[in-house]
Amino acid sequence: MRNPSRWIAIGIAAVVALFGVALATQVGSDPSYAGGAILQRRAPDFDLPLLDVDGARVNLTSLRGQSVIVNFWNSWCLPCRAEAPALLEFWDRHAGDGDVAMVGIVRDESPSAARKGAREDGFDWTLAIDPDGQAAIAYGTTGQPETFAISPAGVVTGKQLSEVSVDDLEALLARARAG
Amino acid sequence: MNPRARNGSWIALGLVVIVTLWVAARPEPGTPSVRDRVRSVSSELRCVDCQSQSVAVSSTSSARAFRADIRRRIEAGESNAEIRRAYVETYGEFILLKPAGSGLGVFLWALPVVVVLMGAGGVALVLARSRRQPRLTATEDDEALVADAREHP
Repeated sequence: MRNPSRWIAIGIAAVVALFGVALATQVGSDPSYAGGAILQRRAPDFDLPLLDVDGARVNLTSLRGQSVIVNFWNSWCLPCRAEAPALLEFWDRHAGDGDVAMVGIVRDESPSAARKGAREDGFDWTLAIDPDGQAAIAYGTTGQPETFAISPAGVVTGKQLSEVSVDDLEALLARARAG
Repeated sequence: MNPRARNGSWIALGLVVIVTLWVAARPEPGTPSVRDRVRSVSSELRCVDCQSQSVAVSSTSSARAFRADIRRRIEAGESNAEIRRAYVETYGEFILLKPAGSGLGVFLWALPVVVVLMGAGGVALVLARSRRQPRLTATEDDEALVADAREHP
């Protein structure tokens, strides 16, 4: 080895480069960037009070056999409001399909404010509140909107962390139906 | 009751109260309270909708929900490790504020040490080499050159 300090410098550069690769890999494991750890696993069950019917509840087990779109949202989140037209159009297309259900779960908002927002946007699918935030944790949400596709067998087949378009929702539904 | 006996009763009662309060307030050694455990676990978890804060210190509603979930899990008999594992299964390693001590985490922990050791090795090599090399001394020609420059600036 004629010039050891040069080799040491090259070694340090290589280690720093590896560090960069490691950090990049970490970014890939951040659910804000990746699909999250919940994909292809059994969907966490929920049993939540409905937003607009006192005393009534919705639970995932009762929807087994249907492809389910679960959308975490609230009325103060601008991307949630921005995706409302896509959700409305998607639900217009599929509300009559016997094999499809859509559940909107209010994340981080009071029922009264969410009820007002849902009324303003004309949401007419099943809406539930998550009073203690346990469903949001069980689904590994990091904010809202977040949309999940669940197959008829109850497996999470798709997840989108940002505002959805109608095409995104159709793709999620296709993945849920494919199981 | 004579005054001395009455004072003695009050002193005895006071001592009983002090001892009772001391025993009640003293944490049992080796058995952290549920609150301590909630604080311990939540301080290791990332608040999912804040910037680099732990669930323990964040005041967001999701952090509050996490703390309530941790408490519920502790009361259900889960160990701290089981609770951490459950969150990692849902969120991935992202949820841990510190890298895990296995897999990629080991690499991340070891990397700064490796870089410092390599840097120290490099400095040591350079110092050793400079010590080995003879110091340069001025030749007669050099001295003449400097003298000439001084005479004819």
